[in-house]
Amino acid sequence: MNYTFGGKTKILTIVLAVIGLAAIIYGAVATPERLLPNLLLNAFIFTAISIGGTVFIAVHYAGQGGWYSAVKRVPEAFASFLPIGMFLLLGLVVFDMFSTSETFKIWEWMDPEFQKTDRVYLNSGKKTWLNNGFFIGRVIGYIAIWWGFSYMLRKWSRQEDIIGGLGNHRKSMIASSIFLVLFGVTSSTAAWDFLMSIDAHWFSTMFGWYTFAGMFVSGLCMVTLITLHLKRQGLMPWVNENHIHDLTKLIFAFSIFWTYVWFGQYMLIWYVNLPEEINYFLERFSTNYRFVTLTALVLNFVFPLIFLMGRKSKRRYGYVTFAACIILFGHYLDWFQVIMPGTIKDKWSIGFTELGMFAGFLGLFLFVVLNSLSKHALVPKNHPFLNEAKQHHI
Amino acid sequence: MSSKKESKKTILAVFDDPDNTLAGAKALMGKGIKIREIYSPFPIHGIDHVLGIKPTRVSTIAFFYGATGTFLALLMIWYMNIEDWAMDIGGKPSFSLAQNLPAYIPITFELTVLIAAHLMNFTFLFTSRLFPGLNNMNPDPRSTDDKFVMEIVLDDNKKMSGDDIKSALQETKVVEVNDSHLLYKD
Repeated sequence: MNYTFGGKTKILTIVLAVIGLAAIIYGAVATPERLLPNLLLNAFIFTAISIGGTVFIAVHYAGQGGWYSAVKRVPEAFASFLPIGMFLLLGLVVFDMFSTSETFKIWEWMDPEFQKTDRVYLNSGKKTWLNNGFFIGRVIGYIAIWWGFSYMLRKWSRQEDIIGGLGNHRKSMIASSIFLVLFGVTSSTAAWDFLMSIDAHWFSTMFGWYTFAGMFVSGLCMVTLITLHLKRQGLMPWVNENHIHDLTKLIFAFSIFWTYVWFGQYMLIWYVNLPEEINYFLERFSTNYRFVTLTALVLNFVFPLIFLMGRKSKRRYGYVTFAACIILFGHYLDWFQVIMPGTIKDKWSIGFTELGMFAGFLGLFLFVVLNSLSKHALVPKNHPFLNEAKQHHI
Repeated sequence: MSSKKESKKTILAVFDDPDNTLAGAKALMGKGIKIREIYSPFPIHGIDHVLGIKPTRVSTIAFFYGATGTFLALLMIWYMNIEDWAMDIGGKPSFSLAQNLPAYIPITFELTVLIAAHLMNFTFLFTSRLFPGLNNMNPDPRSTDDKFVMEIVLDDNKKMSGDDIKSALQETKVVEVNDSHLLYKD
């Protein structure tokens, strides 16, 4: 049974993408200082969603999970967006290194003047990690690891459809285990590089996990949303409320995990009150970012805690769709308050530039992913655990 | 639980596979045969649904236990750190519970979990009537190893004879059908 990508859905994604293009042009002309931070924000979010899908597959391969094979074609399709998001991030990094303009700037430490004069940068060992050559090398490494493993897992899964047998499954298991180890390191370093180094003087050891939790939750929300979209088309009859229950359970669990890490980071910095650390939270709580920060906390913690705890709420499709949208938006706001205070400071606003670009990236993401989904069968018919997935019952 | 006098009127159906037990229970319940209990070495997934056992209410009471834990933890911290001996938390001498709350969250969380978990355990033992020195209520000791034993009490099924039930059992993948007095002679 195949998915045909067309009709209203296709038009909608194209319309969203066109809105995004308009927002980029509008942003470049009317609000130039908001353009690059928003590009980074959206490129990072949708890269995070894509890689979250691959982590979902890899975790289940490594842990010999069964039920996930019912929905595994959806996160596999996310891999097709990964190069777009990641090369955009690479483009932003390279552009930022050669940009001399004050307006189009994201990472302050890339300024040659900063690298020559900033005493913290020169004397605290930051210079070894944050320098142009190493930074570009790392981003290329992330692309190689993240995209490489996502691509191979997807390729082997499709090969399995044709030739059957256990060979591809075994290969995927080994590759997934290696990927999870590498991703454990690179998700942290990528979080430091793309997000934490915006505030070049600031550092937090919890930041990597905090970003990883956000990545995984957003990826899971997108998997759930696209699966439910396919179900609404009358496809994937083997996916029932038990699979949605498990997906939502993961969303709930990792929302709580996100909060745990968020609070761990906040409490230690609040408690110790060191000037170079507390600055990060002062920027977010003593300015008008306060509203965004607190809203993100409410949407990502209080909302799932109250609305997703019960068994019945995890099994109603309409309810889960609503909750996943809210949590996805919550993580948009969360990353918004991570990126914006360090880049555009008090000149922020949420207007057509922000919402239009988010819509545009969403449209592009959905276009690429749904297009990739329509090219291959939705059921991994030779997956060894497929029967278990079809009988899944909780 | 069945006493030894009652046990003569009990049929014990022995299965050797959890899926067969579940399917068998479903088939018997479909025919209107009431099953008193199923003894199993491990929880069989979905069996409570088939036997029509009401969902547990322990999660509702757990919320109130947790709320009790939160309250007690905050009360303890308030008394120790604010009221009785005012503490300067992290160089912030505000002496206020609300302003120092981040420092108290971990302890509050731990005590909430501790108190909720312990009280839930005691509640479970109490409602299951489990206590030290209790006699074994298991009709067939093999159900603690590799067999699944279904207990059907004839008094529960007044409309059917024992032979009706046994012939219904033979249609399932049952391994043995025993009258309980064969195993436990008075």
